[in-house]
Amino acid sequence: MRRPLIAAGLLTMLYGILGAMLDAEVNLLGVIVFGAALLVLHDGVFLPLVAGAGALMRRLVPPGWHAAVRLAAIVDLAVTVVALPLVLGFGRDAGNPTVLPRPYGKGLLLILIVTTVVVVAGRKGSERFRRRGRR
Amino acid sequence: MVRHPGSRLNRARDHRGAPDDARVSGSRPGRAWTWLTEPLPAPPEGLRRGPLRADTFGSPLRSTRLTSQLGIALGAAFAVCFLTGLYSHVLQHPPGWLWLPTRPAGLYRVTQGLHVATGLATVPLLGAKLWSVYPRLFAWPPLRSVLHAAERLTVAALVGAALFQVVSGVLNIAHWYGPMPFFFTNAHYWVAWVAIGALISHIGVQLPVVRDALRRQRSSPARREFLLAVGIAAGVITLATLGQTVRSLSPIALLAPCRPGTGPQGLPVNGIASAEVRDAAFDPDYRLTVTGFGRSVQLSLADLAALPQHTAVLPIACVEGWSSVGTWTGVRLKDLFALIGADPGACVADVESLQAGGRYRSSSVESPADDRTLIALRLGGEPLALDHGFPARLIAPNRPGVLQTKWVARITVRSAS
Repeated sequence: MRRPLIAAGLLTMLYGILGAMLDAEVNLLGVIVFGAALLVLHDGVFLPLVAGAGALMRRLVPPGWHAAVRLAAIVDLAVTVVALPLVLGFGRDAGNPTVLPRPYGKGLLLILIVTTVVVVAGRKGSERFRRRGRR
Repeated sequence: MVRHPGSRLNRARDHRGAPDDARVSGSRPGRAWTWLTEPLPAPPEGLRRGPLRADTFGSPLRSTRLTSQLGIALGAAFAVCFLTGLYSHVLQHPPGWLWLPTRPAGLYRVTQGLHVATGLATVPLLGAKLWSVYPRLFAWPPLRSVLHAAERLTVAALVGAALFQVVSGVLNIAHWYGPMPFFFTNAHYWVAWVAIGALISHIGVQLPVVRDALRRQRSSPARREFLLAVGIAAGVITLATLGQTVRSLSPIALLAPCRPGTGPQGLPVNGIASAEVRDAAFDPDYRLTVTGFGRSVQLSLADLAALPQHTAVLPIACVEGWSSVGTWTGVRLKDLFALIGADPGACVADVESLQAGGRYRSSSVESPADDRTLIALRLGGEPLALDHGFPARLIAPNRPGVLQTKWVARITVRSAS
């Protein structure tokens, strides 16, 4: 089971790589640079910041709050990543108001506030729930 | 096999003693296996600094079980994105041997809506998965054997390709092409094959580890809460964006890049008319040419309006995941075939726009006999708005929006095959 999977996967990768090389409309260098840049930025900048923030949280925040802070941070961070290109709005087109029609900065702010408030307000309830679950 | 004196292979054989005493390593695959798995010399311990030290990462949440659970969910999400993406690709580049259904008419809006929604929900999943295995990036020694090096290279390809797919997809639906030094569509397609291939290999490599972790390790409340948090993040993202295709969720779709029900005549537009197209579209001398098999007819807008009119309720479903339904009225494509005596059951049509160039100036209709495949003149009872393709546009069931050619100038009929 394992060897066929590994072999099939490598062949599939090869198909993708050859396809990209033979496709005249694919700027191979651009694709490789973009992918490598993402890899380096993610593993070299983004994740160290996340891990550092986590370590800081464990040191500064009382243990009873860890779960709530973690939940709010995970949701808010993920939503921000998705929203960022919309908030920055470089894709807006003056001639076409149906592209990016909403005020995304306000939308993002609203989501961040609502999720944070809900998590903080629901902390006591979830504590009780957790204690009941343990019994 | 050529033997290089002092090569690692020979050293391995010398190490084992006489070449013919080891039955496995004596055969050619056996020797190759030895070469692949023989331990490489470890780097000096003095280099083990910074994150390479054993106690760098202190989060109590990381576990093989947690990584396995995240991996299974992420694998499922990638499978959904790959299959729906492949379907979208096949619709846009139909291979001759493949028959593609035109029903249900809204199939593509569902598959492509699912493609984009799943891709967006992948953001927290991929983030959490990569966070959970981050310490393994700094494993010591970095390369245990040639095989280990190859495996790490495949993992790097997997991570790079996965980040590439998710980030380029997010940038594309936000119409932000600046950071991408390549043509998105083709690159997203080929890198998908690399990502899914690397994923299949990765599953093959990690299968026993996952099985063991799920069977033996216990879960903890803190890890369950972490998984729940990742799930809630995916849920919030879905709720904030799905309204671009599910109309009832539109009021809470605070982060949807498009809003169904808005735009000219209540329908969003992705590509707007250039000045040249506008002039040609409003020119009183506009004629739609239908040609094929040596015959040809020219139809003015009044001629088109005088032909039998049919109405179809069909969605515009964009590759970017949004969709919006319109009520289209116009001439059936097969009725235009009849004007030049072509059999719609045995022919295909190439539909060309007034646009002088551009990637999507023409498209092919493989099933022109369909009753709901129209050259539409009206939307919601009114003449088409210019940006919806005035004077006439193609609208057909189960078809990506980029193939619903606007500002139709010429229809060329040829036999299918």
